[in-house]
Amino acid sequence: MSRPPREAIRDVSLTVESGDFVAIMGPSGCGKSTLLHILGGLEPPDQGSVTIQGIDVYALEDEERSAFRRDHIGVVFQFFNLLPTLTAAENVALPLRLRNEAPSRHRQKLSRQVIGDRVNALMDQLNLHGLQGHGPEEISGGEQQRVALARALAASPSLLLADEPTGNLDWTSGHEVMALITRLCRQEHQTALLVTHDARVAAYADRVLIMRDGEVIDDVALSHAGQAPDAIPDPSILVGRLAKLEL
Amino acid sequence: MIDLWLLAVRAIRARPLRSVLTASAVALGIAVVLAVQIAIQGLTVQAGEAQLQQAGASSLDVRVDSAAGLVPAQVTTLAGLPGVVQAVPLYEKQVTAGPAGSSLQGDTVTLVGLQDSSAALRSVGVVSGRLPVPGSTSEVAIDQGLSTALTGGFGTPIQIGQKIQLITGTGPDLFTVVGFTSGTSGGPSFTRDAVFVDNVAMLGAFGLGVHTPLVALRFGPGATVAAVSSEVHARFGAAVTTYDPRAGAASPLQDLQPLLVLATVLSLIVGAGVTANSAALSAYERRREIGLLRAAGASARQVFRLFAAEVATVAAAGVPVGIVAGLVLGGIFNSSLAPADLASPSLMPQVGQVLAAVAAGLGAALIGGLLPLFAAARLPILDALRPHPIGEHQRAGVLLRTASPVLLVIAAACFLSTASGVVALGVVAFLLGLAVAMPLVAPLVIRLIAWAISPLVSGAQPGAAHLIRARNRTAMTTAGLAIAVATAVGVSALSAGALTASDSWITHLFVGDVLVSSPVTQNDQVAAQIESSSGVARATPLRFLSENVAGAAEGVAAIDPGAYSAFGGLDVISGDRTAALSALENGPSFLEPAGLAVATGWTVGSQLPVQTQEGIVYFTIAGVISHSFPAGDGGESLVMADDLARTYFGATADGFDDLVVTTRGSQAAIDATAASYGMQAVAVSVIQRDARDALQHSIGLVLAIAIISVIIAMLAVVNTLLVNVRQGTRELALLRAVGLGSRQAMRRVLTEAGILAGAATLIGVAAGCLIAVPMLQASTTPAFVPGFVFPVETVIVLIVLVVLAAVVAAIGPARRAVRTSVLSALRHE
Repeated sequence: MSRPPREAIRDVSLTVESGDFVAIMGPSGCGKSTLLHILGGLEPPDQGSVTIQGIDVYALEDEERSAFRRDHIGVVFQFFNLLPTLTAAENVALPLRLRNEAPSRHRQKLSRQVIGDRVNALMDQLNLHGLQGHGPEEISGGEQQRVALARALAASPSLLLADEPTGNLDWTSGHEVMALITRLCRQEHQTALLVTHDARVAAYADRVLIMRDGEVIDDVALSHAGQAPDAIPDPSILVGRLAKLEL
Repeated sequence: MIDLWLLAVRAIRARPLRSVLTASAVALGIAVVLAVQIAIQGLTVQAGEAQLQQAGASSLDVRVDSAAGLVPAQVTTLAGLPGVVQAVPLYEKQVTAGPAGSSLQGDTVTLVGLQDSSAALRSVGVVSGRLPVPGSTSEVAIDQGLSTALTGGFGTPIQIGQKIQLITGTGPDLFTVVGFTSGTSGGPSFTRDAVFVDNVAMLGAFGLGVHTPLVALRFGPGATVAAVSSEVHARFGAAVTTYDPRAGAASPLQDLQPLLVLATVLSLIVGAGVTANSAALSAYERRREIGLLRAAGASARQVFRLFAAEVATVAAAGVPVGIVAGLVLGGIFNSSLAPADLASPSLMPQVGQVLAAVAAGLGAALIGGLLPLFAAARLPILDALRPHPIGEHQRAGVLLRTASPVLLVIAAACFLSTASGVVALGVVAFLLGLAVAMPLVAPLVIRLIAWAISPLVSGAQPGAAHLIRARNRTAMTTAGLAIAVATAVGVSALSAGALTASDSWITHLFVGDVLVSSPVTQNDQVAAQIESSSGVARATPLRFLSENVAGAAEGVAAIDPGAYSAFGGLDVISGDRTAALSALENGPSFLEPAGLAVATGWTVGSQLPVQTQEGIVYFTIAGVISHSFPAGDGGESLVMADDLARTYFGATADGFDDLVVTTRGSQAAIDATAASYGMQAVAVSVIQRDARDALQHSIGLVLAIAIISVIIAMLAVVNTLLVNVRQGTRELALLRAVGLGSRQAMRRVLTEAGILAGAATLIGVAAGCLIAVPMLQASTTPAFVPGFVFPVETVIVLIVLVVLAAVVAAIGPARRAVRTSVLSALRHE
């Protein structure tokens, strides 16, 4: 027996400026992950379009969309983010190696040296120094997520997408990951979109979209003026807003 | 590309057992193809060499069936033909022989003349001693069997240096035996009871009545068989026949080749199935990895290339092992099939054969492996990223469901043909159709087995449910095993049918339980003496002649129609049996073997002119029998009454060559008597057994390939069981958390393994029986009509071994799964 298709999101129109750090939050099943997947070129919408840097992502052929994703979008998932047969460094280098597998006219093949330097720099930046040769099963959950973050950033993407990146971590590890994303956005103007159901995590962002039943029902701007990137933000404004929305 | 290989190698190392199983399947596939090629090539070359040996230095044989044969003037003409450098006549004569000092009575032997120590350009095998020296008129060499036969049952066998008596043109003369021979390599023109003398003696003392049935021609450079044959016929017309002694070296496996090719193709299909199974399992287990790669920007093509690199690496690892295994297997096939009296066939395959085997094995593996990867690479990213859908029921694909009926219809159409190649194609189509239908068939059989064994085995129903849930994986695994089992069962049924037909053939030929064979034609007194021996109830003589029937030499077996009428024997398939045997007794008539009837077109009632001592006499075909006695030319002989043979062919038809004896329970009574005349007594049951052995020996090669296919298919079963157990670890832990005992959990896993293997075997047995029917029809000839016989032994052995192997293979992983702590298993994705 077939079931009628379920409408996950509808009438969502969203513009994210370069360098924005946006969190999407809402209760389970509100469509926030689906929105993230659509924005990331992972799942085509039934209607509408996604334009990143002037390019309609879903107008591209599958092969082109894969290349676009590789070059412009980095994704971090909640868990089991790493390829189990590769070391941490190899996981981080993956997008660059994939790019080397299919070099285009616009991009030259990167040498092993260049890839190695980029991987080491990223791993140092994300406090992963010394873990290059370790397999995923040999490092902690927090370290795994940071490796996943490093991998997502390896190809210098225009857009970083993170789906519940701290959902599987304890609070301290989660804070480390969020502090890193915050620093990237504030200091290196990385554009990032984050999905979470946790107001404490969403509070790191500059802008929070609140969803319910597939629709964006609120758009909250948060100010972090004067706060260090690794400071723990105050979620009270968001919590109040959620309470007002009965979420 | 190097990074792709790195990923591929890492993935292979992460699942070493699966890689080993897959590489083994590829290796076995290559080994089978190579071994079959080695066996066919080796045995064909060996047969060719034997043929060349048989031809000796003769480039062309010219034969004539008239009484005296070719006359000297004709031999001279032949020697003068363009391209011919030598024409050597074969001189033959029937003479009476006996030990020195015996009377004029004795045994009839065939005297063969030697020129330069060879007979018609063929060498003569010397067992001990030597051949008569050229020009000698007093020396002979005799076939070894004559050493006893010529003594007539009295005294010790003749030794080298002793004299024997031969009737010459001037009466009995003594000749010194200088050697024992094993006959010549000359084929049907030569006999097993020859006495060799030099041509000087042959044309001198024995000159009267010498027959020249054959002249061997040796060619000079540039001469061809066609050109010289044409010249011969231009000079002599249809009075002579020409025969290329080097031609017609048929491969000993020629008849088996369609079956061999079929079994080999099926083993490759099974091998491809193993790789497909392995690739599908790998892709299934690494769905999330595929999702991550795709999310990280890998295109579907890149993912496909990554997995393809894995399949190619594993398959390539099987190549050297396959080549070595193929050489070993080829050696085993050759040593078990090659005749022991010929030089061992070569084991060295040609480069092209090795490349063909590698291409076939590797190609099948890659095709099998790459098909599931196409689908895996195109998996929607988010589907791939989802956790394993353990509870999800797999559905049978629409393409597969529609392909099955199409393949089955093609198979049915092919089965209407009796051409073995077309039937073989039908078998492949049928088995592929069955394989494609397996997602529908396997769950039904699995449910049936679970229902049948559930009163005895408690974990049967849940085990079956688990298998049915992973319907496509189960289907892919059972398909390979079912094809392999079907091949083994089909070949066994064919073998059983052929054996039954062979038994029936022999039973119908001999109206007794012991066959006494003589190397020379024995006289009737010997038959009477054997018949009067204690322990003998009846003795029926057989005399084998070669007579000119309808202008050609045909083998004729003279029998006692009364004995065959009274005690059965001779399966009359056309004409009334009683009337046919009665006609045989009363008039000039023949019974004709079915094979000859097809070859000549002679039917019941046909009148055939036969050269007798009274001139041409017309014989009537009184009936067609399924089989007759062997004739000298490899075919089967016409059958006539022994009394009439004496009437029409005179003294040459006297006596007997073989004696069919009915004992009173023990063969021992006639062994000594037979031996004293240089004869050999063999139980008919031993002849039957030898015939069965010879038949089983040949078909055994095909059966061996089918069994290798079963082993290949079992690799896929083990692969699937490993994944099933690994995937079921969490489910088992959940059950254990709510009270399932370790032993119960273990039993459940093993039961699942048994049901999977049992279902595949049952489907295979049914399919094997179905394909056996058209295979038997394709093997049927007028002379050979094998019926369907259910191969009980093979089926029992297959069921027991396959189910046992699957259960044993599941013990290790099952034990690991059961020993895993509940909490750590629950953390397992």
